[in-house]
Amino acid sequence: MMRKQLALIALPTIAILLGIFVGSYPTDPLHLTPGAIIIIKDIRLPRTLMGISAGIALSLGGMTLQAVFRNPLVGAYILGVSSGVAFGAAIAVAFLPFAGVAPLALLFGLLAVFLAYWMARINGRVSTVSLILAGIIVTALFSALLSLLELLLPSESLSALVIWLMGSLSGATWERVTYSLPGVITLALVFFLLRWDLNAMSLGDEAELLGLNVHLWRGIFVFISALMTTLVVSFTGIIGWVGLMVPHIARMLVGPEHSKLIPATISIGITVMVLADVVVRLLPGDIPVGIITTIIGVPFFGYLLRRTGGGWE
Amino acid sequence: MRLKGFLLVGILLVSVFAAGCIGTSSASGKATSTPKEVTVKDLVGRSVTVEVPVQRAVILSTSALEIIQLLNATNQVVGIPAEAKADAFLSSSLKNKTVVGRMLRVTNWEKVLAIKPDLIIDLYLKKFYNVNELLNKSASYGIPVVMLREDKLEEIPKTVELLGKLFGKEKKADEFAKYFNEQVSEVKAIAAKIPSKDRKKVIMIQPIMGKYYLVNGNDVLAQAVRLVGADYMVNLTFNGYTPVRVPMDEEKIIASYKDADVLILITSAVTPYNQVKELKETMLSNQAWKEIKAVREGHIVILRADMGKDSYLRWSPRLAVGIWQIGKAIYPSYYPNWENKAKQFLKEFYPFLS
Repeated sequence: MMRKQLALIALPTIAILLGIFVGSYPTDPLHLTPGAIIIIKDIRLPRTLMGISAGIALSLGGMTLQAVFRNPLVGAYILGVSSGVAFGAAIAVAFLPFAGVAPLALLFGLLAVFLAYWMARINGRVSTVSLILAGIIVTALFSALLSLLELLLPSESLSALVIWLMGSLSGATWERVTYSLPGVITLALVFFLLRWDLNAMSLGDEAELLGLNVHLWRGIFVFISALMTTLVVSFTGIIGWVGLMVPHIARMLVGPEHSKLIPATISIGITVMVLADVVVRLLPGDIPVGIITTIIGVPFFGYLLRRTGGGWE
Repeated sequence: MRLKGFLLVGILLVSVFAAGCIGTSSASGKATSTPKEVTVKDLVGRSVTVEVPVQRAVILSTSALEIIQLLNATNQVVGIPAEAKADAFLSSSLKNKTVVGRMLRVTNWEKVLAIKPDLIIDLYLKKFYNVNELLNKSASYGIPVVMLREDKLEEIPKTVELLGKLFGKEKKADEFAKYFNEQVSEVKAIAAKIPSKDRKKVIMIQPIMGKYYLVNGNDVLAQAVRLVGADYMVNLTFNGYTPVRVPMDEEKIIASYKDADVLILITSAVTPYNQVKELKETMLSNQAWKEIKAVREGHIVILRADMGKDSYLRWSPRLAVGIWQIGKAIYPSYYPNWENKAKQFLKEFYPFLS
């Protein structure tokens, strides 16, 4: 157990150090030139911190929804977050370039989840199945609207939008980190404070026997997860698979109890996200980090699907 | 009940008949002289036999449309791509033609056949769309296709001359080709006077949606930089493929192009001038960007390559002015103000804009 705890502290620490010292500009940690210090301060630190923010938000968002829905194949994107964010970004590109992509992406990402939740709420109750179905409906709606907008975009806008949607940390600035990271850390703390309720929620509707208002808490957890995810993807674009992959690895390591699972998910989330970005930095050009996480995530998830059959263990 | 059944079958038959008969038709092409058949070599070296002057062309490239407008042959065009509607350099008479495609592709062959074109003009860009499909389909409908290229500066007057020949506007085409070649010669003459010690190293960045796209060495803008007497620093190839734009993160740009003397930021259809101006201010105040000599010394210039009226840096006849803009941006003391060139150019070749 001690070894696992040490590993969960060491892994993100190593990843963060690599995030700070690896890149195309020479930055020898033993002989830092003034230029290297500037590169670390102005480029690598915000990029690594955005990686930390993305790692925490996407992983915890996925972990929470998997617990609340008692389904290992659920992530924040199934509620329409990604399609809402994509549509918001496309609106910004097509009609409001002066407004910037992030605010509209954030707005539409949250709007998508609100719509899904409103649609799924029947007689004051929100069942897991109806929420997932509503998420699929909202995703389909925003995807269709996105396709419509794509028809109106000139070729260079369209290719830029497609690349943006693949997700990247290369555009991270201190300003964006300031908007994203404090919110993500606050919401992560909220999750940690609510870890016992999350444990109870993972029992499903039986949690009502413990005196929990399951429908109210389901709504609260869904919105916190969505808000957390949107706080990241509205700045970075859609980074796939982290929210699905990381909670499973964490669960394999420390089990399903949330007082241990939350720190483990945060630790692995940071490690995966920051290391994926380090890989991107070592490749030529500016390859979207979402491609790297997908390349890692898809085979892992395929393996998981075959092992569990999509059921909850 | 039976009557209703007959009624329904009747409505169905009428609908089927109507669907087969109703279509779009916007014939507006006019002959300008007696037609004759000629065989021309297009810009990719294909031999194409066309009846000239072309009277009903479908043109899927906005830059080719600009050339047609310059040649005063807009009434010989019947089909355009959707993006032509957003091009500030195109007149409303061209924008009002039937939209048959988008981004170099024909999206509605039924519309194409309805407007009965005698020629299709498109760009030979195999990476962007299925060129062979377009060629095969056009051949099956008996419509000749002329393919153009937008790679090099010298292809601009060549394209104008080819289209002049096809549309029966040789005189105007020759006039423009002469003007363009004169501009190039004048720029070359100035470039030749720049001593090698003053020769500048240049990079061009097009920021789009928070990402930096480097203009690669094979782009026509990089060629223009070399033409004005500077060295273009970016020449990137990936497994034999050389894209015209390369997305690159801030750190890689700083690490690779520290010695650049001039950094040119260019606008795009997505990134308006004000956003690029903001980026310029950010770069000038950012210590990391100051690792690049050009930023440190304040040599960042914004040039326009968007869809607006002041944009001269897209592959089109406008580059006759664009090369002067680039010259002035890199060597302000060697090149004259480009605004006068722009006025003269617009008056002569884009009269509806001036």
